[in-house]
Parts: sequence; C-alpha cells; structure tokens
Amino acid sequence: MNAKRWTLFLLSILAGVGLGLYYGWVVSPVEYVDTVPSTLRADYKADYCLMVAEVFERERDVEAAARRLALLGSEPPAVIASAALEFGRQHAYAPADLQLLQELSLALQTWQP
Amino acid sequence: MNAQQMDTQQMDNRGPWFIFTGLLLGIALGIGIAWGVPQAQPVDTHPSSLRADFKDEYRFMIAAAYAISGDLGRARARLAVLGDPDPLVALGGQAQRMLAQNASIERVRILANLSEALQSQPLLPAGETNPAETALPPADFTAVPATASATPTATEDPNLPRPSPTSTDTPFPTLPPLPTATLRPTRTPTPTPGAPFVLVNQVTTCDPQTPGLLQVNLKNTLGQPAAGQELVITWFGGEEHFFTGFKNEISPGYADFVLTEGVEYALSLSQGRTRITGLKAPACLTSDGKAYPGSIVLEFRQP
Repeated sequence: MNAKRWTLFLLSILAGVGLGLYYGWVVSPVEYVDTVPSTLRADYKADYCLMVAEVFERERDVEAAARRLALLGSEPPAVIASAALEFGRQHAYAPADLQLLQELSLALQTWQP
Repeated sequence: MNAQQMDTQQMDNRGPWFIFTGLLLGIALGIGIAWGVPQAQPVDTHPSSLRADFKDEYRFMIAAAYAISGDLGRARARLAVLGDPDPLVALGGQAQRMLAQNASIERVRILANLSEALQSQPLLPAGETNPAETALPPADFTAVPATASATPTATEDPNLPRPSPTSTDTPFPTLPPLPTATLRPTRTPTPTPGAPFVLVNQVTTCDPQTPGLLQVNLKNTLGQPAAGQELVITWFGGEEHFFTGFKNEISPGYADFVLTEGVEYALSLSQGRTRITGLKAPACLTSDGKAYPGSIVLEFRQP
C-alpha cells in the first residue's frame, strides 16, 4: 500500500471514531440505571441537602439530618452540607434557602455523632 | 512491466474498500470509547437513574420538605426530576410499600398529604399561573446544567425541567435569583378541612373476583373525589391505617381493605369524627355453591 492509501486509511479511521463517538454520546448515550446518590450531579445533591435543611428547620434533629445526608456519600455530613451551601451561594439561591443550608451546616459542624 | 510494478498496479485497482474498512474500525472504536469509558464510573447522574430504594428516599424527602414549606410548585418540580411516569402512582406505590413494611403512620401521612395536594391543585395549563406557586418555577429550581466536562452524561428525559446547555466552558452559568421564601404559600394544615364525611350509601356485593373487600369512596363538598384521607379500621385485637388517593386507576377518592371472613370491623375517618361499626363481610355463594366472603362498598361525602 502506498503512502497515499495509508493516509486515507488513517483518515477514514479517524472519521469513523468521530462518527462512533457522536453515536455513543449523542444519538444513543449510555443509560445509567440503579445509580447511587453519591453520583448525582452537583445541583441535585445541593437540592437534596436543601430538602434535608428544610426538614431540619422544623425538626431540629441533627442526627436525623446527618443520617439523611449520609445518603449522598461517605464524606462527613458537615462537609456535604458545606458543599451544598457553597453551591447555593455560587448559583444565587434564594436568601431564605441559603439561610436554611447555613443553619444545617452550622448545626452539623458542632454535632458530635 | 516488472513483477513489482504489476503488484502495485493490482493494489491500486482494488478500489476504495480500505476506506470503508477504516471507517468501520473507527466507528467500532468510537462506540467502544463512548459506551465503555463512562460505564466504568457514573458521574453527574440524574435522580431518575437512582436505584428504586434511593428514589423512595429522595421522594420521601420531597414530601417531607413539602410538609414543612407547603411549596407545591417546588415539590412538583422535584418530583419531575425523578422521572416517574405518574408521580401520583409513584407516591401511592411507595406509601403502600411503607405500610407493608410497618412504617410509622406519620411517615405515610407525609406522602399522602403531598399526593392529596397534587390532586387537589392540578397543574395549570401553560400561560396560566397560580399566584401561590409562582414563587419557585420548576425551570429555575433545577436550572443548573451539567458541567461542560461531564460528557457523556446519563440519558435524561427531555421533558424534565433542565436548562439549555451553554456553548461556553463556563461550568455553571449564573442563574436568576430564586424568590425568597416569604412568597411561599401557607400550608393547609389538614388534607381536606371541613365538615366530617357522612355515609351516604352502603351496599354489599358478591363478586368472586374481589372477595372480602371493603371498598371506600370519599367525595368532598363539591362532589369531587377526596384524596389523601386517612381511614382507620379496627377490629378485635387489631388496627390498620390506610389512605385514599393511592389507587388512582379506580378513583383518587378510593381506598380498599381486605376483610377477613367472620371478623367484625369498625371504620373511622375525619379524625374519628365519623365512625361506622358492624362491618362484616357478607356470606356469598358461587354458582357451584361454594361459599366466599362478599364485599362492602361504602360511599361518604362531605356535607
């Protein structure tokens, strides 16, 4: 095979890779099933934290809040809550929601399991 | 023409098949990368892909947060990201599972309250807004897109509220500020406030397809099915709670309970203000003379 044919062959492979990636990522992407909450996108994690914070506002049960946040991963609940608070600040959450997250975060930081 | 020249000539005459071969190889490689790499470690997944038990926990938290805030718009948006074909059916199914697992009645009631609220305040058509729910439109609530590097992501329902991806590399674009909580509606303290339900009809039926079933239908003052109502059935040595609104395929105001033959029951509702006693499955006979317990149908209405 001469150099021209080799070049065309390699170019066709590259074009094929492009088509394959387009098909696999856009046309028919992988469908995750049975995932765990720790893999959730950051905004969904933050919103889950906000739900926990909303309930915590009424219940004032730090242990229950920590148990609920443990669903989001193996990190300490205070870290998870702080991350959600930081996310909320970066994305202009409502002041009332930020307040809820802050209260939860503070409560978890002083909480001893 | 020598032998080498003849070989070259023959190769050149083979046509462009090597291009197709290269394309096929490339496509296989590309699909392998696209499907193989992300499966190793899912990242930035969507709540709709959660395992069933985690979905239940997520859904319960939605209902619990609604019970505190009373923000139905936000609860609706949160339920939407779970991707359930029918959130009401999903809530009902979860409540049934919790009852079967002897979960506390308070936890089940939290789900029932959200179910009732969703049914009593259906989503308005596009263009119309409910002033009580404009505090947090769903599109704003979940409007945080995936990071630019998060490809490929899990397949997501295009109908779910999510933002349009940006063409820049900005990981999280700035969103419009969310409204403050002061705009949230005040939560209705009870599922269906008002006068206690009164019994308007009681019949016994013999249907071998549904033997020994206590079927209860509740309607509110407007004659609409009343969902989310707690019913307490007691018998000698036992008590069970069940709710309307979890069998929407029949009616949102419907609930049923399986009666044991020979046992007498009492049913109370409206926080005990309405009580029906002496409920006993009637004796019925099949066409071939075999005995089976019949059913009782009760219809209640708020005056």
